[in-house]
Amino acid sequence: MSGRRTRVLTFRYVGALLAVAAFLIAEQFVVQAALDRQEGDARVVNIAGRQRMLSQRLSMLMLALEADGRNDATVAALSQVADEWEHSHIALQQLSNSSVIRELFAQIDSDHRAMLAAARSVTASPSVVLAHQDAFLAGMDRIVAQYEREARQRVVELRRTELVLLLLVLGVLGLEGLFVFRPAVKGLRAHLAERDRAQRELLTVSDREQRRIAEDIHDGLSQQLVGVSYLVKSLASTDPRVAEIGRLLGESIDHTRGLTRSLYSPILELEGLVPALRDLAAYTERAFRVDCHVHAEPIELPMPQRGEIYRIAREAVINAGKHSRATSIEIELERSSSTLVLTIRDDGVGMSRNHAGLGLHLMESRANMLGATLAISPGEPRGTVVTCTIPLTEHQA
Amino acid sequence: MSATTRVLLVDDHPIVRYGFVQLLAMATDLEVCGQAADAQTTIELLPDTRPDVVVLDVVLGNTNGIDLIREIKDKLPDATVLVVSMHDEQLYAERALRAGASGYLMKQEATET
Repeated sequence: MSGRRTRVLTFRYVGALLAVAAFLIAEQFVVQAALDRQEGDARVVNIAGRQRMLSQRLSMLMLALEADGRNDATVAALSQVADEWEHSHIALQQLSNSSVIRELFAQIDSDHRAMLAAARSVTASPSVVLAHQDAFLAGMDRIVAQYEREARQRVVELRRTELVLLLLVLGVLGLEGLFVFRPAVKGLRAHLAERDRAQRELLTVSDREQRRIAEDIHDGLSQQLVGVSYLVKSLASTDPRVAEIGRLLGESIDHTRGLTRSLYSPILELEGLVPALRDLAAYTERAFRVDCHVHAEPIELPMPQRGEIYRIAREAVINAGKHSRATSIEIELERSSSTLVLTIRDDGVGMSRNHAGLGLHLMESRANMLGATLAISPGEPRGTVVTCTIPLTEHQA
Repeated sequence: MSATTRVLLVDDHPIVRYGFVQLLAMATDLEVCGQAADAQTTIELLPDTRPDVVVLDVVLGNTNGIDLIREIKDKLPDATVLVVSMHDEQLYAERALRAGASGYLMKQEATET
């Protein structure tokens, strides 16, 4: 993915996150405000209901006063109820009421005043209070009902606001999926495909180059050494140094053959995987002075697949021969109904992933190209076991 | 067969042919009657040189030495064809013998026999 594209996606992603955060914060404010209001509504409905009760208590106290004569306790109770009733009435009107409620309060204002004036005047007849009580109670019922209606309306509005905020959040997440995640996943897929393609190309080029170098050594240096060794032999000298030169030339020829063999196996192309593995084992025995055996039944595989399996085996075997101080290396190829399992087992000092380096990386890349899994584990009781499990096609199984 | 065995050397590497010539010169009963670097020259040389033995490599540049063995045996059925190659016996020996060669030697082992 290009830098510009990445920046655009980052910008969109951060934008979406900020939008979601903003909506969630807004939702919190709305919910908290609604809860506060709800608490206030409950208190108001309660006070309004209480006003109703206080007006009735006011009537009862005045009737008691008339029946029992002036009784200090009753007078004091009447005064207290009247104070409370008046304060609550004023408090209710001072709230941020709707115009409907203000109008309803205005309708009972005269009744409230008349009842309050009668309660304040000790000599007034209870009939004044009783005359206004029904109208006041009916008015208060209307006010309580209106308060409740308005509270319910606010709950409905809150639900609607919540729903809108939820839809906005979901919308932002949807847009994020469409304009951030989808292009990001698409870009990632393309990037991974490009990486795999580059890796395959790299391995192909590397294999081709190794083959070219092997052929160059075989046709050039090896032939030169052979020609020179014939010349040395033709000297028929008794000089021990000449014999030594002949011996060294022989070693050099063996060495160059081993080198070409490690770079490229013509047997793999002409004879197949198992003969190539047996040849690799023979070379390994000579080159690293270890026992190396192949346990495998012949198997027919197409060239690219055969080549990759051989190169994984070669990497593991040469790695074991070079670095593990093994005395024995076993190469196994086992076929089941759906897989082919290549196992390279040595009895050396073991291999850590850190030391495996490029060789392990190449083995993993090749396994990846085969759609195979590569596992490296410690051997029993020592050494390393490299296992490559290759899926077989229906045709091969 | 004459008293000396006439040998035709076929190898696309001059240094190998040169070494071989020097090596064979040590034997009094062997005579190098000709040298060739490719199949066509080999076929052209056959009527004049009439070799008893043809020593050849199975890979001659881009040409196939196995086909050349058949052609030599076709033109000179009595000639002995001996393959001396850097390539593994495993790869070519059986095919070379089936094509008419009498033996297959690895180049680095040729001087030891």
